[in-house]
Amino acid sequence: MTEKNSSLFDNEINEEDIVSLVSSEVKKPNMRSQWFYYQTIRDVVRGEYSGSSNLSNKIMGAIDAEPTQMIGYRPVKELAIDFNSYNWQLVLGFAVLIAIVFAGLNSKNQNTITPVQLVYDEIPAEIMNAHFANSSSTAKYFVQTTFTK
Amino acid sequence: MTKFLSLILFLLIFTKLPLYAGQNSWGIIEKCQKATQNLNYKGVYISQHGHELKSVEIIHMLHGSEEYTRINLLDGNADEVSSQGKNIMIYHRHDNDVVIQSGPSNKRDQQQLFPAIFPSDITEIKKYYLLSSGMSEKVAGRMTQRVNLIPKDNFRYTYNFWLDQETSLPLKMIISNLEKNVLEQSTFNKIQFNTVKNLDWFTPTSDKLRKNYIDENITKKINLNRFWKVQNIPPGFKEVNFMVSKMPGMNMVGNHAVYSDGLSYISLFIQPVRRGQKPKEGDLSFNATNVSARYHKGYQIMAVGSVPFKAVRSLIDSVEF
Repeated sequence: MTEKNSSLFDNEINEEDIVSLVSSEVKKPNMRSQWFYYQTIRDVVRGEYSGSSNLSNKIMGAIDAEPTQMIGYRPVKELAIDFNSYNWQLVLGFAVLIAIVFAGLNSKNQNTITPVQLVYDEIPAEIMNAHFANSSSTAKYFVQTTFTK
Repeated sequence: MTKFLSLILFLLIFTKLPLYAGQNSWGIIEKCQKATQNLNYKGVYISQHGHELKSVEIIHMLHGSEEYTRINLLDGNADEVSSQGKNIMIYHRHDNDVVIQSGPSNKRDQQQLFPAIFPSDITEIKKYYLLSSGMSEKVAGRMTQRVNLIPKDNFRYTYNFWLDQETSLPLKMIISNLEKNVLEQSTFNKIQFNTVKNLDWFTPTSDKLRKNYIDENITKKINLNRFWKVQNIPPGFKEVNFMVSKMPGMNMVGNHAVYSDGLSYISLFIQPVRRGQKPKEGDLSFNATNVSARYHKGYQIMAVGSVPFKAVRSLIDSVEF
């Protein structure tokens, strides 16, 4: 009979056997658990098994039973790397790499940013206009701040 | 005898130019501040900034509990300003267009425009200026009393006022530096009191020109956290304005803060340096305005103001981020 059950779940059973199988199986007391196992096996074989509500309930129950720690997490120094256990060649190589990166950044900054002497012609007009529009107490107030046509 | 003569000379000097030290002497400034709010007047004044001269017409009226003002620039583009309480409309003419800058939270409402030069609270002014009075003389055909506000330190300039003896309204103002050179001045050459009886005049003259109108709200706000701070603001100055605005032609924003002691103003600009442009450093003076610039971590820091170099320089040197 179990062979017929398996065939039923694999869609391999004959149509005429379905009625007799179902009518005989529903009368058995362990029918529900047996059918559950067959269905699970079929899903696993087909790669369609996604767990069961029973499993989720067990996981959530375990999490609820776990004590919660609000403060006093392990200090950082306990997480510090034990250098003695490391290969010194690796550490040295890493230090050399950092030094090269620093040197590269410094030389780049020196080459790109060189301030020049402030001269009247190079003061942006929008700066002067914004200043007078927001601070002047005389006719300079009338400068327009944002409009560009 | 020598001591007696010295005493006479001392008294003569201080009779001519008395320095007021007591709190009550500041009553003349408080009276002046109230006069600029409460009086109804109409006049024309000349405004000079450095080498620039402009004529300005002003009408002011207190109607109910609200102040109405219309200021027309009589030269150049003939721009105008209308204010009702704290709402300010600014009309700029460009060829056939009139650009309107407006908004209930218009940042310009913090400013004090001549003759309403004094803020409602003059506490800081009292702390950082000495009050003295000078000769009586005529301005715009009316008798005035000269009053000087002399800075106690060298972070600000001297302000000289000629107050109408009858109404206390300032009819003339001169800002001068430590060498007593005139940097800015505004002087009424015509003024009438109580001639405006209704609000018929409170319509912009630009309306009559029937030009194209472009409404431009200048209060486009960008809410970003401030990434910098000023460690040493010049004494007596406090921040009265802060704006973050998108820089023209860049997808980046610039910061603009305005500091004031009640009379003098300093603008502080912190803007990213554009690609291909070199940042500026140094100090520059032109047309009564001093500018100091500094470069720091990719940003151009610049302070601008009609204040001594010490004030603008100390401000930009103390910016940190």
